[in-house]
Amino acid sequence: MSYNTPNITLPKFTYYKADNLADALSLLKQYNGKARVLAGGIELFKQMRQRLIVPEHIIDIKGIEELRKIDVTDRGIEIGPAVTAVELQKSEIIREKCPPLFKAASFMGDRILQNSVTIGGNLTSGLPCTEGVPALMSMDSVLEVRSAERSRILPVSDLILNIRKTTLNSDEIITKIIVPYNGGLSGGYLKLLNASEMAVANVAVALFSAKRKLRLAMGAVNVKPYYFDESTLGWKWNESIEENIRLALNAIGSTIKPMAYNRVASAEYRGEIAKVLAARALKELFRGA
Amino acid sequence: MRTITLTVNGLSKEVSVNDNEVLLNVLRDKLGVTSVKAACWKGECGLCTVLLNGLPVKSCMTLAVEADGKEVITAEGLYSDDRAKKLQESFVKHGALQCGFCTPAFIVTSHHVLSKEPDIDGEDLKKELSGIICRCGTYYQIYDAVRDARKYYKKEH
Amino acid sequence: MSNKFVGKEVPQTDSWLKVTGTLKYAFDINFPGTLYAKLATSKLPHAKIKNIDVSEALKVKGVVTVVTGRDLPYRLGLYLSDRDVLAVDKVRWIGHPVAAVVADSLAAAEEAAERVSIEYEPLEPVLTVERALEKDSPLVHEKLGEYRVFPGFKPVPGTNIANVFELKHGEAEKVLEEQDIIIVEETYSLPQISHGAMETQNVLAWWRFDDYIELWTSIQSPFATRFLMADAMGLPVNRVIVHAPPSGGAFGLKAGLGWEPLVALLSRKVGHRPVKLILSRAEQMTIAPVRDGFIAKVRAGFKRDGRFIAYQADFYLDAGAYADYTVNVAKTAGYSADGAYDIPNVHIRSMAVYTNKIPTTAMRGFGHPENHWPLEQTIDRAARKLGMNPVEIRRINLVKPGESVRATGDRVRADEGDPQKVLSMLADAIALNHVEKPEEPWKVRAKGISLLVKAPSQPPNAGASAIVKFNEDGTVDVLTGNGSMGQGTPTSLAIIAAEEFGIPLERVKVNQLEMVNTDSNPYTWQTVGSRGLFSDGSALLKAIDDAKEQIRETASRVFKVPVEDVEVSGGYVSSRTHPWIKKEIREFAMGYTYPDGTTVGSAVIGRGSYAPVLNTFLDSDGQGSNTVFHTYGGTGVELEIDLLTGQVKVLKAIQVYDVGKAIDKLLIKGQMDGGFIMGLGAALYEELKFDKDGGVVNANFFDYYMPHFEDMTAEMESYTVETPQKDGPLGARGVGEQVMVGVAPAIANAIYNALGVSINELPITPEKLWKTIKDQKPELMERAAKSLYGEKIQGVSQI
Ligand SMILES: Cc1cc2nc3c(=O)[nH]c(=O)nc-3n(C[C@H](O)[C@H](O)[C@H](O)COP(=O)(O)OP(=O)(O)OC[C@H]3O[C@@H](n4cnc5c(N)ncnc54)[C@H](O)[C@@H]3O)c2cc1C
Ligand code: FES
Ligand code: FES
Repeated sequence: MSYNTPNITLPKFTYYKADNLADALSLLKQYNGKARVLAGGIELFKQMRQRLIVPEHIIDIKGIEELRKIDVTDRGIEIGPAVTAVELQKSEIIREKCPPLFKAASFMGDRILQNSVTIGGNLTSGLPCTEGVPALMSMDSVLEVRSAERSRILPVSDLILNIRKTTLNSDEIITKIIVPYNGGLSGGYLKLLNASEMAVANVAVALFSAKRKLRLAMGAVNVKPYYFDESTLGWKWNESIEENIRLALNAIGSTIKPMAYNRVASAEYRGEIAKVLAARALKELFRGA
Repeated sequence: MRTITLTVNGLSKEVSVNDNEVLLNVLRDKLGVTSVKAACWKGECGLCTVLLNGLPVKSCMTLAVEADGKEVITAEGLYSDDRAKKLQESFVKHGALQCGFCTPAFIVTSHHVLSKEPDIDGEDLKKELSGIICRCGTYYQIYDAVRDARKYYKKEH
Repeated sequence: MSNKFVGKEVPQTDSWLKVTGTLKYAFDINFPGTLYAKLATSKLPHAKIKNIDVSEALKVKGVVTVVTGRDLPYRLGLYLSDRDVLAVDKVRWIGHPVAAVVADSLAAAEEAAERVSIEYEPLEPVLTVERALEKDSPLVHEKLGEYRVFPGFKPVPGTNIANVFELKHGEAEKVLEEQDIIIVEETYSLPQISHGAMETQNVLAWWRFDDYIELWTSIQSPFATRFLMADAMGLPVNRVIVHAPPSGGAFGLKAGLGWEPLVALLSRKVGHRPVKLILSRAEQMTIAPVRDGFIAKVRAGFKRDGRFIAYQADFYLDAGAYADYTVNVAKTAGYSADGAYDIPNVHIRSMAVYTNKIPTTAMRGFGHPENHWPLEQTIDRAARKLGMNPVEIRRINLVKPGESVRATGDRVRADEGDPQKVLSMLADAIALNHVEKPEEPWKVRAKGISLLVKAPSQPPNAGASAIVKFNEDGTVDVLTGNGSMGQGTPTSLAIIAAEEFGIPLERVKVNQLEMVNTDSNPYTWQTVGSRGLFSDGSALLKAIDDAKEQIRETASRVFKVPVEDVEVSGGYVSSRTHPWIKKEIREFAMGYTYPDGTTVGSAVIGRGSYAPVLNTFLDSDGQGSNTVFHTYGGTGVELEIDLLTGQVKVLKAIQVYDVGKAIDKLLIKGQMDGGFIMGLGAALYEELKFDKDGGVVNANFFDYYMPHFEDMTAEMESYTVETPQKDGPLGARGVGEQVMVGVAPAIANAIYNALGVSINELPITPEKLWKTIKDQKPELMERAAKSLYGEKIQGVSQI
């Protein structure tokens, strides 16, 4: 796929600024299929300039207060989808309790874009390289998704369907991102670029040592991110890290099917880099633990 | 068409815009603020960066209607800010510009960075400025200019 | 002379306009009522146009007209008139403009352009140089034989060869067969890259009712644009008025003629209203020219003592669908292929070849990033074979100023520069033999160097002129034709004028409104090839002399001394023999007026012009004298290589150039550092990628990565050598392009020296280096992998 965009202007649409969630959901319902949610706009306007999508209505959700909060609740850490990448990095809660996301946020486009990019938009962009998905997957996160009629819980790992395609219905909005751990989590995030802003691979790791839970999620390697836990990694808590990394790399190697996407990298290189990053991330994780 | 109100470099402006117009074009074409440049029209080059309510944003990726009621600051406006003027002077002195097309964006962004973090240095500073491309490659000079201007942004100053 | 300004660090004169964003570029210029143009482009690489349906486009509200190629029967080109204004009868690449829409808003124009529907009859596309050169290849230009050709170029009608150039010096082939010679033989290549000038090409054209054409356009060579425009339209030259505001970067993209004819013709078509065309970034990288792709097959012979005695090479430039300027790049890469070395036997064949891909044009370095890529790597490979040090082998092969003869038969001038000194400074600064070990065991440190030399590539009569006007208060206005694009030449010219008159720099202004206007500024051929300071500066010095002469004549009458006795310097006019007779220059600006009103002399206005001395076209063996100065330089790098990912990080970079005379040290440093950054992009990242039909897929800054702030990883050391050029302005030579030429070869050489792997193809992306190590030295990678995975850390059980 090419991201060439000959146009400078955006196609015509009507803009709505929603003050509350109910308004946004009812507008989405009213214009179902012809409306799009606007968060940071960084992906949306790009696609519109390219005329990949031409929505007639744009519903701006940034003004909805409840979508902009980060809270600690009994469900864990709850993050509003309209929280920006900069806000994630400024948040003590995220820094302390969601380290993979904290680090991933610093990669969500450059520093200026990060004032606009939202975590909800990042997840929903559906690009294989976006950081939010593996970072949140490594923490077993789920999404609260709502339409005018109903609300459901969707694991982040079930969000991505294909490139720029998610399992959200066109009348649904992500209203919350829930990380089910409140503390006790260490983690890391690594990414590698190859002469493009598009990652070859990104790897998130999270360790919940008290419960001996280890997670590793990998983006950009294929259309959908990969998810591993201690058992799929073949982890042996009594073995040396060296032996464990060897086991993990074997497991990863036999699971992932790297793709050659958009000429950023060959499948072979992606696969190798995914493993190198995984090894480094695990090593750093246990060194720091 | 709808009418929005913007404060641009301290002056309140009313301007009628289409919903699909981005802030970049309204600033340049309707309000004559041509310090705001563009080189990609899709968020990649950073040349269209302005301060919107104090935060740097890429104005090609921001609708004009989103900016309704907000304050926009650009490089020409910063001349009247004492510290920013020193920053501009530092750019001049260090030769932190060649063709100058990217310079206004670097000025507004580094002004923002120094305002919030006057001690910034090294990799952190580079990262903060990573959203703007300078094809003439003046990064070394900009880095020196911004570091040199830090003193003007520190409290005691 | 006191040298108050020369050799100091003087910021560009327009700096305050730049930092406040108030400098006006062509991009910023608009008139009320301006209409906007947008192009509809080809989706196929090679096809006959069967039909163009514009009816849907015309229905879009706000559209004024839609124009197609047949409406605009003009041929364009500087060296070879191979260009159409819009595609006529057939399309030649994906992106070839087929129709132009004019509307009252950009939005309407864009919408309409999408609705132009083009019916094609596909033809077999020619997508590689190899295919293009086969006997049965389809032709990109069937009518090549009918195009107008500038002297010195040789297109081959009936083939896809747009130009073939040959350089013969000695007997390279024969020597290469001799015994006891070390042969280094390789094929190298470079991809097409984008100039990446931040201001995309844009033109505001107004074809006036009196049939004068005014253009406000983002270009670097106002006079060339004017001439080529008038020439193409069949108009007298002065009917075209080019306003050239400073460019937001140019790098060769904006030399010659761009979209001006199209937009001017559109303006005429819509009832003489002003029309503006602004290319989007994707358009800039799909429909407008880029730098050529390059293949070099080289064979080099060295004696056991390290003497480089024969060099034979074939260069193929993938010129894309239009080769207008690239024919000269091919020639230049050919005649300067021997670089900074004295090689007794040289045979080069260099050709520009048409393909059905994006057209190509000049870019910073003009053939030298191309020819130094094989040459400088060849030297390092020979050094390794001979067990020599890269510095030593260069030292014994460098040209000797005043003695050596280039492969063109041109003698290396004695005052041309000091390549040995450049090499020594580079060698001392980089210290090739001291390579440290990085902390992480899977990384390796590496050092490498490259030398380079470059002269402007220009026709023998590439002249320049300048005017120096005095104002009532003794301030001075300098007019030149030098296009401003960030290189800072106008500032250097101001420094020269201030220095020569001895007046404060603030009292000198170069080019009104920072803009060149072909009606009021004097002629210069082009602002290319690093020739600006040299050529325009030489003209300016003559204009200054002329102005001084006028002042001296007046003063001789006022002082009642002979003209020869009058001296103008240091801000004063004085008598040499009676130094107490002295007045400020400003008193003579409008002639000298006595207290009673009697006036002697009149307003001072000096004029000067310059043309290269005794330059010629090269003959059919590439022999002749076609250069005015050569700038020598060198680049050294220290890298850190990650053996497991192939990532390269530059830790240190050295730049050394013999600039003749450093007029403005701040600007030179800016060029050296900036050129390094641009060179780094070409070395590590930049490459236009094509799909199977030859369409550019990464025409944006997301997929086409250019250096960002974080890429400023290298500690920079830049040095100048100052070996004055006798006929250079104050001894100076140009340096604007040289600064990027050596970067890629230095990096490749560093990798080669450290790992023993050869990379013959740019860019050296992480993946490419990773693959190269894996293929050529798998043991390095295995060792590195062990160091990452194999090191013992505490058992996990302990946590
Ligand atoms: C040059 C550049 C480099 C970048 N590099 C990276 C990178 O390295 N890594 C990275 O992760 N990102 C990167 N990004 C950003 C990333 O690609 C997305 O553009 C960005 O994260 C989108 O966030 P947004 O808030 O702007 O989303 P928007 O553009 O506003 O929305 C994107 C999509 O999500 C939908 N949407 C938004 N919010 C919701 C919601 N709450 N519920 C349902 N649907 C919603 C929108 O309708 C739209 O379809 C880069 C962007 C650019 C321009
Ligand atoms: S024009 Fe807005 S980021 Fe490039
Ligand atoms: S100074 Fe030219 S792009 Fe930065």
